[in-house]
Amino acid sequence: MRVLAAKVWTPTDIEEAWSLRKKFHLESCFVAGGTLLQTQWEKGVSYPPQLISLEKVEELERMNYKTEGAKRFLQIGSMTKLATCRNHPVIKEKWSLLSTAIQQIAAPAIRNLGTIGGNVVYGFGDAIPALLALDAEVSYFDGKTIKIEKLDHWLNTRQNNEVLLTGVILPEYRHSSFVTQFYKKVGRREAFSGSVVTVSGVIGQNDAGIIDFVRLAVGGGDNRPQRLKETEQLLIGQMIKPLLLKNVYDTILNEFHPISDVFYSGDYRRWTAANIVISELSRLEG
Amino acid sequence: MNMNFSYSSNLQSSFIRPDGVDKVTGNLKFLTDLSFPNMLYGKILRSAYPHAKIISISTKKAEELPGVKAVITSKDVPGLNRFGLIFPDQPVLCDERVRYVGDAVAAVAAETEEIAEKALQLIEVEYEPLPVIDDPEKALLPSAPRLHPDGNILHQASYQKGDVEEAFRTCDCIVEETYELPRQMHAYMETEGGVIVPEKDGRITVYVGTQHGYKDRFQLARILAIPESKIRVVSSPMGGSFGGKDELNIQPYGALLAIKTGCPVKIHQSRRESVRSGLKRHPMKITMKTGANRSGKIVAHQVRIIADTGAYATLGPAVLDFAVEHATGPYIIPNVYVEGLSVYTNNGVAGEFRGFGGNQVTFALEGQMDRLAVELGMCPMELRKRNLRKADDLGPVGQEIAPTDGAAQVLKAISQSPLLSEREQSTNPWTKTGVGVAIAMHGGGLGFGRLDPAGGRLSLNKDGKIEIAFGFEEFGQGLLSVIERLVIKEIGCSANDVKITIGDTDHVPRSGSSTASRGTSMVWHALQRMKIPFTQRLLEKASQYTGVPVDRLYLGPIGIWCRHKSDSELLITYKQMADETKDDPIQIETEFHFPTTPHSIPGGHYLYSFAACAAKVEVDVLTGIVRVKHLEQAVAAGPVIYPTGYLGQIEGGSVMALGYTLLEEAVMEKGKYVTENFDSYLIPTINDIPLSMDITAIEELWEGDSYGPRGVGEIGTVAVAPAIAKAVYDAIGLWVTKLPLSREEIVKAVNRRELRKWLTTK
Repeated sequence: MRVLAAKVWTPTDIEEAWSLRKKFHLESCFVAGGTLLQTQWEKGVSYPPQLISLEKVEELERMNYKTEGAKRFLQIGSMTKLATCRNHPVIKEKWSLLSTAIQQIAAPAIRNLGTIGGNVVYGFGDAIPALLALDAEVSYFDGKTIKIEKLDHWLNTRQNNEVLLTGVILPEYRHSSFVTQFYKKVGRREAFSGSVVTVSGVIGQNDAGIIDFVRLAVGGGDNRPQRLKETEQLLIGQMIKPLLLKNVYDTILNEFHPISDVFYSGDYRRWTAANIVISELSRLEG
Repeated sequence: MNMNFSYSSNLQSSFIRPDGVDKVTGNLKFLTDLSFPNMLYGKILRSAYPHAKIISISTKKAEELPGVKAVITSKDVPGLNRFGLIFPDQPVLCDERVRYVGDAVAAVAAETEEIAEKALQLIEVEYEPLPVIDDPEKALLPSAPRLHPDGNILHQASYQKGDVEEAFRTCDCIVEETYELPRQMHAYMETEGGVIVPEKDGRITVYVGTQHGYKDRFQLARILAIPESKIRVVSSPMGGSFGGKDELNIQPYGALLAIKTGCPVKIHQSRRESVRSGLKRHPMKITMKTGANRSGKIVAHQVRIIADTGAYATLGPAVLDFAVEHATGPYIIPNVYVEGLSVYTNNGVAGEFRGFGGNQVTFALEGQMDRLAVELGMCPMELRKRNLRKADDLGPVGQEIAPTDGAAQVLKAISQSPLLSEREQSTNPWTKTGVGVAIAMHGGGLGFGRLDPAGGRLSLNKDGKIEIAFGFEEFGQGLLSVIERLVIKEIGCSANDVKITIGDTDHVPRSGSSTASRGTSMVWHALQRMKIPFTQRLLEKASQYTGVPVDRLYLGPIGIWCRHKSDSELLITYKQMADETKDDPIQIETEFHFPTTPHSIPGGHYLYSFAACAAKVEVDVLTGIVRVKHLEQAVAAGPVIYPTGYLGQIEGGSVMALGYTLLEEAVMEKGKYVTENFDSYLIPTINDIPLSMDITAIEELWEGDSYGPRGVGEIGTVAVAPAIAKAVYDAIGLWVTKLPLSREEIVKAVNRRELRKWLTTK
């Protein structure tokens, strides 16, 4: 047992949270659900002395299903609990991939505490591959205003820019005659375990069986979730044929270079990711 | 979820266990739940290195921390600064050298756990790191540093019969393979802990779970340099042990701190502390070469076992002896050579673990049987049958054993499994299913040449209860139910008339350790010895008191009953009898030894149990995930005493073995644990286990067998891993040689063959 020597702040709006962070800077960190910090604490990593809890910032827990011009989308406040997201009727109906993904995160008690924002900011969360496949956007506060950008872009460029994630946005697309989607998390066991490799995808085909859009994302372990863009390029405008599948397999092995840990090698993760994508694509074979 | 559990009819009845309600309601207090006035909290400083010289230890800063009441180092150990069940080689507190990351260097007692924790950080230990031996084969190199004065070999054991070299020349078929078995953690729910209380009369009471209270008392007396009579060990109930708490763990530190401070001291290890310091199952590397002739008769079997015993001995020698003994299992092979080495390393200490070396060697042996069957083109069941022991054959190391047909019984039972005949075609192109069968033979008790005393006490206590006392411990296995059921059956009273006393050296007789599947067996034996004298004395007294002749009296519910022509009546209650006999209480004690083979083969067993396991798996060829869909076990271990407990042991043992096969490994790198907690050391969840299990208990003993029920604490864990491994071969054609089973190996194998083929030819 160790003693928590940190002070916990509970700001009630974004500006207050931001000013506390500016004040304490490296002596502090934001806390969303706290489930990740808890596991680090267990490992003996100490907390910074000032903890800024976001649980009282109500505006971060709202969900809005909106239409703006031709664009229809769902805004999910970053402090929305994972369990709430998973069970939300609109998400279940329109973005079931996210529901599926969240169901495979940790265990029920943790999903009741953990938040969608925490999962995304962590950078390795199991929701991210699904969100990438859904072409999600994020909104964040940079100290001045709320900005919106594609999650994919943000993950790749956010390195040193301190922001406060305020929400995740799921755009609704209507095209293609036939859309298939999948989310496969391979953990070290069936439940309550971190991901070894996670693969998610959304694939659309037109009436002729030609792929007219595709988004594929992979992650797992200490690997930053990423889109498989070369593979997507290869697939677009094509019909599923054995030769194409072989090329897809090789392309994935070429563009996904996961790192190894003591339990699984990078190769295992590559092969498994490629196998899963192939198995999903083969269902679309004409 | 479709759940489908079926049990043989003798396993279907159920009784509420005496400790059941309190356990499921959370009402039961474990010893780590106890609190006492003025209680302090103890913490143990473990070594920072897997192998190092200790240059200096300074406790000054820690002692000065407000709230710290005592800091102890090796200088504070008044007696023998060593412990160990077979021979004491593990320092209580290290003085010159540390040999693994769990070695204790100092301990602290403080007003709160937080202060004790902080004090540990203030203890300054200067180390000089030494080369780390992290592999037993490296430990055997002449250049390896010596971890102990006699070198790095803890123990060697061997068995030889006939001439293997000569016999291999005559074989039509030989298979040779090396199997690697992992370091498994017991993963008991309750980590090591309890409270040690200094009493007013100068004694100490040790409220700490263990498998053998008297043995702890003996070891503690030696460490504390006080007579055993000054120590009371209260040791039940425990939240699990599985062998892991047979050796001392935190008791010495709690006792030293309690004596030094004069206050009760509580120590309860965190899971991380438990992983770091606790025992594990022996990792073993087993090479087997097995040869048969064309007809499927095995003629030669050569085995080499290298066990990683870690830094200290504990029960390492006995585990190796057990593995060597069971290297031929239930098969009769004319030419055998088995050699085993148990080797010291700087890895965590390996010791007692449910199955006791049998799990490792049976995985290898059954793997050989399946490989031979494939090579010979023979049904694996038939191959086993052709080589199986007969009831009156000698035991596996040539010793006389109690005749038993258990091997044939379980093989026959499992042959009837529907799993073996149904051939299900998976509808998913990416999953393959397979079925495997394995059998196991397992010795009970400690074996020849080992002190293995048992005993019990039966009395009519002053409250009018039939009190039965044993030095056994309850750690979840259902011991209390076993005792209750046997007393009711053998004495004739009802559950309400029985009081069971266990787990307290001030109040129980010596029964030996709750280990080696011996508890149920020894309770039965003790009752066979005590029931007649106890009943006779009670009936004689009742006859004297009531004037009714003894031959019309019998013990029944509530009291002593009188038989009439057509009915019976309650003549006198047990309470009345207790009042009548208060000046000369009725008390029967017995002491005896666990039955052993007359042949002087160290560790050789006399009583054996058997199991056969059939497993059906589904292999996901995309990910290498193996899912066990169905498990079936047939067990031959004599009469069933408490059906629910029997099932619990076999089902629980199956799940523990499934974890061993698919998931569990306490990974160490350079002598340090990589899997430090349950977030990386993974045990099965409900989603990882089959929702379908069939258990059959075969009760019939060989004619004339007078040894009663054998324990089933271990047998359910032994045959599972080889059955799953064979099922994987059946599904995808990959021979598994290493546990836990590697998904990576499966994906690699499948990718190379099927997926590539599919990709290019379809």
